[in-house]
Amino acid sequence: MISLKNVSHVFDNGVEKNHVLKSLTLDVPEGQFVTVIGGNGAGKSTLFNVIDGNLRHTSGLITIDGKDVLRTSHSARAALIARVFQDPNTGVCPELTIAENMALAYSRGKWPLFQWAIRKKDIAFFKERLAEFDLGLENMLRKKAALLSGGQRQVVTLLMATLQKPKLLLLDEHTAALDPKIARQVMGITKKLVDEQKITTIMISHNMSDAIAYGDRLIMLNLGEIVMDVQGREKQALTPAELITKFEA
Amino acid sequence: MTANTFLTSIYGSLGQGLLYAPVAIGIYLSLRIMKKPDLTIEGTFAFGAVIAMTMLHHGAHFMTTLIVAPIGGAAAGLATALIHTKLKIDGIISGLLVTMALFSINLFVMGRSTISAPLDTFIFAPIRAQLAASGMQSFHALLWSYIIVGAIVLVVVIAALYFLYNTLFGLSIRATGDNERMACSIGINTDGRKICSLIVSNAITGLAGALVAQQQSGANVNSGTGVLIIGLAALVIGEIITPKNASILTRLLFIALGSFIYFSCISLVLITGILSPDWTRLLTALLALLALCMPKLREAIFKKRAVEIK
Repeated sequence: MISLKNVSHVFDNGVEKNHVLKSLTLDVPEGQFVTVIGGNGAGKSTLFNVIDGNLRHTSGLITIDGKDVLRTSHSARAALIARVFQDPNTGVCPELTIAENMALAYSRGKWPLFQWAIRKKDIAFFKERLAEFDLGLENMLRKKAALLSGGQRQVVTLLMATLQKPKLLLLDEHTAALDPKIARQVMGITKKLVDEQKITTIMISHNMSDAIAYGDRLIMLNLGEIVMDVQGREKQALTPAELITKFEA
Repeated sequence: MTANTFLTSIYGSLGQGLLYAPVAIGIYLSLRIMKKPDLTIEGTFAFGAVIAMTMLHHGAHFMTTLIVAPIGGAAAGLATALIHTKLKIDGIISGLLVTMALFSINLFVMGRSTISAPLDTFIFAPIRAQLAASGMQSFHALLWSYIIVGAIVLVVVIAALYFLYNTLFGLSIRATGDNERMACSIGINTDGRKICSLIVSNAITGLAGALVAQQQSGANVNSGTGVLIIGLAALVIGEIITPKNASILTRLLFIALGSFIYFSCISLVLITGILSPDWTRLLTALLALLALCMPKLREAIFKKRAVEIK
């Protein structure tokens, strides 16, 4: 259960104050997949940055399973929250091999520091997980991540994010930089990974049909406030055209 | 040039190469793994040299210098790292500040501007005595003692780094240098890793300073001058011959080989008598430049060929 209570965030450059999040309150039950839409400046990315601790000095309360995440250490929070970014270059270390990247993600939050990084049984496990996607990635474990295409990187990043089930998965327009065909493929993989482990997920999307097609619940943000919150049948009945009218209203 | 002088020069270069290799490895750790140049190296090298020589001068055993000099180097690295990460000062400037400060600290440690100690207190003395006793010519015994000590120390350094950089901790250091944002997002304390990296690279450099001071039979405030470019030249020469996709272990071994090649080049030019030793620094700069340009040169040559084939 992820709970946000009266979360406000203000960008203050000394001259003017910009209220990016206005007393936002939101409860996401365990295992729910929420899609978030909203125009530029709606506060979507700020919301993610506040949740995962990239932004400080936020008022309000954010808890994950009752744990106050605004007041925990960076590493403790990273153990709970995984985030996949839009830019495929941000999710992996290009100079490290795929196996090394996965080993890092696998030890997220635990850090048994002086343990050998790449162990045989881990390799077998990574191979098995990569083979599920039919992308031939399982044969590239010893290759540098720099050799992966954008789509492959996002797949590896997604797998890394879910290798150890996070309490919350944040997807920040993670298919926006990919071509439509690959984007669809990556969305399919996303759904599979999220459904398998019933991961509580919040996904920002610019694609209206994706926002309707995926997830259990849809939220629209505008100027730092929730202006629409639908789920179940109501969400399924939505059409992209309807959403766009709402969007522009 | 007779075969004998040639061989002697190769032995000399091998010893020098092995003793300086840790410096090149230290530069590799900061410049390549953390992707940030560290200019503390020159200060740290001199610091290690001064610590070792002062200790020997006051009658300490050479084994203790092998422990204290790296600790001194580590402290210098820590200072640079803290200035860089906590006070948010640019890495290059942090290194320069610490190097500057070390100049005075070195004078304070020595209590004078230059210091030396009796030859028989040096780390090379026991091996040299052994070799001489077994009938080796005294000059050759000296050269071989450099090679043996250099090789032993280098093996220990490379083995330690091999283990460190293959643990999750080492992997997290490499990730910090490679993609700090990713490292941060999976909960790695990136500042902590930067600090550790600088401590390790400077400890190794301090150790090299201690050994080279004993090889040169003395230390002074200028002991570190030029070391950065020597190490860089050795590093890039080593990198040119390193196979692609090499593991960390192979990379470190090739850097050591690069160090040997660098000293061989310099000494071969000098023994032919074309240039006087005054030109060593210029030669070093040119060698480093050539090695740095090599990837681009190679690319240009291969591109030309590809066009011709078309």
